[in-house]
Amino acid sequence: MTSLPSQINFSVGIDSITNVSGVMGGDLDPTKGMYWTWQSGYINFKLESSKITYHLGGYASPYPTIQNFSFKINNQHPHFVFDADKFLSLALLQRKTNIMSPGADAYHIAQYLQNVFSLKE
Amino acid sequence: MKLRIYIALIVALFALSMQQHLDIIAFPKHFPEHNYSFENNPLSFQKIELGKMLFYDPILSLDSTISCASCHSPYNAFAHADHALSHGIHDTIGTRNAPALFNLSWNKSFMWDGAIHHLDVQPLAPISSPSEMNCDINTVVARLERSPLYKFKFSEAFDSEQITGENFLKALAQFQLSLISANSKYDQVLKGENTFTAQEAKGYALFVQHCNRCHTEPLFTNQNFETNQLTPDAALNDVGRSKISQKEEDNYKFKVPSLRNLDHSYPYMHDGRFKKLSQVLDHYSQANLTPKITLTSDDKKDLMSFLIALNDTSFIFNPTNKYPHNLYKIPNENE
Repeated sequence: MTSLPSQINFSVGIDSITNVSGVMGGDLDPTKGMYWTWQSGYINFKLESSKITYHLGGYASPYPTIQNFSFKINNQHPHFVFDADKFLSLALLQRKTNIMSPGADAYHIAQYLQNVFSLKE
Repeated sequence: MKLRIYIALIVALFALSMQQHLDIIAFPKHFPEHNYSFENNPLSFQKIELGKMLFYDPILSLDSTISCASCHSPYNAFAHADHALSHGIHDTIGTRNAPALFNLSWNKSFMWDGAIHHLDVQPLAPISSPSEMNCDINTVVARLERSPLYKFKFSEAFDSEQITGENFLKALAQFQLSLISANSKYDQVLKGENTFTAQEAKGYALFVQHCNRCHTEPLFTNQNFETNQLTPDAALNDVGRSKISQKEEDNYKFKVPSLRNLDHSYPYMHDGRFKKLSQVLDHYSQANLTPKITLTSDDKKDLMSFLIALNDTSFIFNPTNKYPHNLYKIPNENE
């Protein structure tokens, strides 16, 4: 019998080394729509509606947007929940509805991702 | 003992074979270490050839009217001579002077503000820009997928039937990496194959004293962003590097361009405002730089003669870099 993992780690976003290592393939191919064109770098998170466009990205200091997560798990079938309502209500505290470049705004809003992923067992 | 020698030999041979693909391009020995990560995109003749076809193909622009070569012409050191600002589809005009393209494997960043950090991903900018090709990489890849010619060329170059954004960009990068300009009179003098005239030698001394700090030899750029002390063009309102770095001290700083092939790549400066090299020298000898550049009219003539010695006609007229009309057909085995 194989033992179950006790912890799951994942990131929302692409680390800085991968960001500066040239073009990538597979899910990281620029045709997948998660790469900026006018400035080099991956878009780590996209949320779009008729009134809101959040393209959160940027890998360089002082505004890295990658978010790392680590969850202890006790169950064979863990589910991760992304609470979009909660994310939007937090993000709108910054009073910005269009973010499409790296910088302070993207950095602050990306931090809210830490509050909206949860583990449902 | 014998085994150890064999192992050492195998390791050495392996290391050599890993590097062998670099011999495809005649890289100059008197240049510094490359900045391009060749290990992620090993060179091959097929990929360079495919990249060349793509570079010259208007299929990259939305209405298939302009190619990379429209603003980066081989006869102008892959710049856009006589056009101050780059041109796009439907006669749109950009905001910057299209730079010359050569010796790109040593570049640490691209574009006048360094917005692009790697040669592979640079073409995404002009392909997508509304004032350039106004297209997008998905449209381009879909068009290539529908072309039997490109299906054939990609499968030859990448051992894969599927055309991906990654392979498209890697092929384009390889052609651009093959654009080497390292055979000017300056290079020949450096290699002991030629000698400067008295005037060129005086010009070289002035260059070392006044220009080398930013236009550092042998690439003739220190790759940094520096102020050019030009009065900003109010219509363009181009803040330069600070747009990317978001630092106020980078306002109106632009990437230092190489001084090679200046005869072929006029006009000059990020907005192409100077048509003549003498205007550039006049500007810098009056500009409020630290340290100040002081040049007499004789100094300017001497400096000019040295700058002319940085032209590389063997690069400008290299037939292998030209429009590859013979490549745009599927080879017929019966021929």
